[in-house]
Amino acid sequence: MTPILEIRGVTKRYSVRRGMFEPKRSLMAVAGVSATLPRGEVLGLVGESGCGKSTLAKMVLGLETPTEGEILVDGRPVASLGRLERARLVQPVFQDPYSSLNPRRTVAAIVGQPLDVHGEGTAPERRTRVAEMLALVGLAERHAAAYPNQLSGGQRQRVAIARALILRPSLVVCDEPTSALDVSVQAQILNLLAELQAKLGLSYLFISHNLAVVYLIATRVAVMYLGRLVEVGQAETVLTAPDHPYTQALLSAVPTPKPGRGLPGAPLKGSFPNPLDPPPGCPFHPRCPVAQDVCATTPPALESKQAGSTVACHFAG
Amino acid sequence: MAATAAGPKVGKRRGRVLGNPGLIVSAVVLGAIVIMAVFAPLFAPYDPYAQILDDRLIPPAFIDAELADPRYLLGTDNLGRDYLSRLIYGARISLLIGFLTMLVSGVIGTAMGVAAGYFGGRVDTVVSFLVTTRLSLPVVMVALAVVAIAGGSLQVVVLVLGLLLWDRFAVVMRSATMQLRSLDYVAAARAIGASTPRVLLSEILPNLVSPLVVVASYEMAQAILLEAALSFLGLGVQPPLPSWGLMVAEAKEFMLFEPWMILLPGLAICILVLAINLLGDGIRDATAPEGR
Ligand SMILES: Nc1ncnc2c1ncn2[C@@H]1O[C@H](COP(=O)(O)OP(=O)(O)O)[C@@H](O)[C@H]1O
Ligand code: SF4
Ligand SMILES: [Mg+2]
Repeated sequence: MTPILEIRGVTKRYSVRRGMFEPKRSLMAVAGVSATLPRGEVLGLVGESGCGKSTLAKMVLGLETPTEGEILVDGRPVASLGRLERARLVQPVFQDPYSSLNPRRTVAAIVGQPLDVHGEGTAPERRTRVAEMLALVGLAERHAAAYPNQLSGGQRQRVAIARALILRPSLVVCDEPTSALDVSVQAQILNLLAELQAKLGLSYLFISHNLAVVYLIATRVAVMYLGRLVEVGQAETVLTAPDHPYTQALLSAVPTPKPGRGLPGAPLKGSFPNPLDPPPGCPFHPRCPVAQDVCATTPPALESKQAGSTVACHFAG
Repeated sequence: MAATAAGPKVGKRRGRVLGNPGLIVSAVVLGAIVIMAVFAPLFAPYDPYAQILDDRLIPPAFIDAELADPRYLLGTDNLGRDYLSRLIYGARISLLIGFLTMLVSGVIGTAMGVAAGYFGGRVDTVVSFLVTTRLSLPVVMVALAVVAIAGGSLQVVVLVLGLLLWDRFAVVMRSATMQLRSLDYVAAARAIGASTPRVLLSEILPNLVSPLVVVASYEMAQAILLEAALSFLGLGVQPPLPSWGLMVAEAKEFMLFEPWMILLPGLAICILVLAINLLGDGIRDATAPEGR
């Protein structure tokens, strides 16, 4: 069976300028990422803020074009899909439900908008489908006439989920869907997403900087550092017996899997490097507790380990 | 069910309108001026063009009770035309020129600003260049030159001012659009397959209404003042059309002995401009979506 998502050697470069008179420089937000998501599974993408997760998500959604490489959704290159076709295959749920809903539209208009754009059904049919969708995500009928500013953060995120699912896409890209919410609401939204995934047979590319959240929902995990994947494998393996020093450092910062915990990053020395000046060799070497001389000169390649994971480290294991 | 959801919103909005005296006063004043202008023949006691040469330069009662004539509430001008009737008909010209100019410049400026803000890159460079070019032209000088060549008429004034006053629309709409473009609901609209025109019309434009109203009111007031200035210099609409600027111009000869003649149309311009600006600010405050 073709995987629902295949990312093949994708790179994204932005040209940025710090000041008016400074020359343009190239920032590599995503650097040669390859990953596969089998149908019906959840690929958790974890990494610190600024490592390129959202950029990768935008490329999967077709909102940005890769500088190099190719992304296939349902076996077809995203670049070759028309906007309507693409929309039926892949839909987003963004992080901040305050900015992802147009403040001038009612909930019913927001959730029904995909049907309008795709010209699906008559007006009464659309109303019925919107009502069904609202019920599915746990919103009451009376919310249909409300404006976003009358809803709580959790309710808004439910609206965003309803909008994403009304076209019945196969793949949903969730870009940190719980991290802007109150801790008490995060678990509800996470449960809803897990429930809908099982019920509708969805596949998720699930982005988070919270390992505990990923542990709860993902079947596969990819760990990202400075635009590169450093460890990819089954969620169980990567999150309980990690091979890469970076994953190990991340995990030791999370003693008990508990939603709501961020990445304290305690055992990591130094700070996240500037993506404009990536360190030579292994990009993690300035912060790595087990780095050797070779790490500063030779970048490690992703290699398969015995546990079925792939790891990019000279001294993994 | 709709009532419970919509109720507090409508209530809050009504509260915001009623709690803003500037908005109410300016709306009433502007409404009165517009109604007077539209139904000028009903409100004006006399034909604004009719000259009664026996009744020239009669002052209004509050200026000189002895010389005043109860038939002419605001007196008569040097040709014996009823001043109140001329003021009422003059409101038509001022409002028409202000509104049409605002429309022309608003369409040009908004289109340019939204395109620059949304597409960025080369489009933005071109628009920024055009704005800079436009800003390097002194409005009054250019308007004077063009009107002097093309001749003063309502159409020429509207066209010239409309082609000159779009810069503020472009600048404000550009920066407002740039802010909106990066919001996730625009990304979500693109992700559901909405075309670019659809994104611009249904996601961007409705959220530009507040700044648009402010700029539009400002530019309308600006156009009314500029028309008055052009007419004052004899290059705006031509007599005997009763424009307020023209009335100021005609009254300046008599400024020493009959200062009220210049005062009345001048005051009318001030009140109209002030009302438009206050209304714009009030509408912006009342329509801005509530914060988070
Ligand atoms: N449009 C853009 N132009 C220039 N740089 C960008 C742009 N979008 C993202 N970046 C840069 O790319 C890097 C990765 O960003 P992002 O994908 O948002 O990270 P994450 O989602 O993991 O926090 C950051 O250094 C960010 O500054
Ligand atoms: S390659 Fe070297 S620096 Fe990089 S993670 Fe492995 S040990 Fe650390
Ligand atoms: Mg992000």
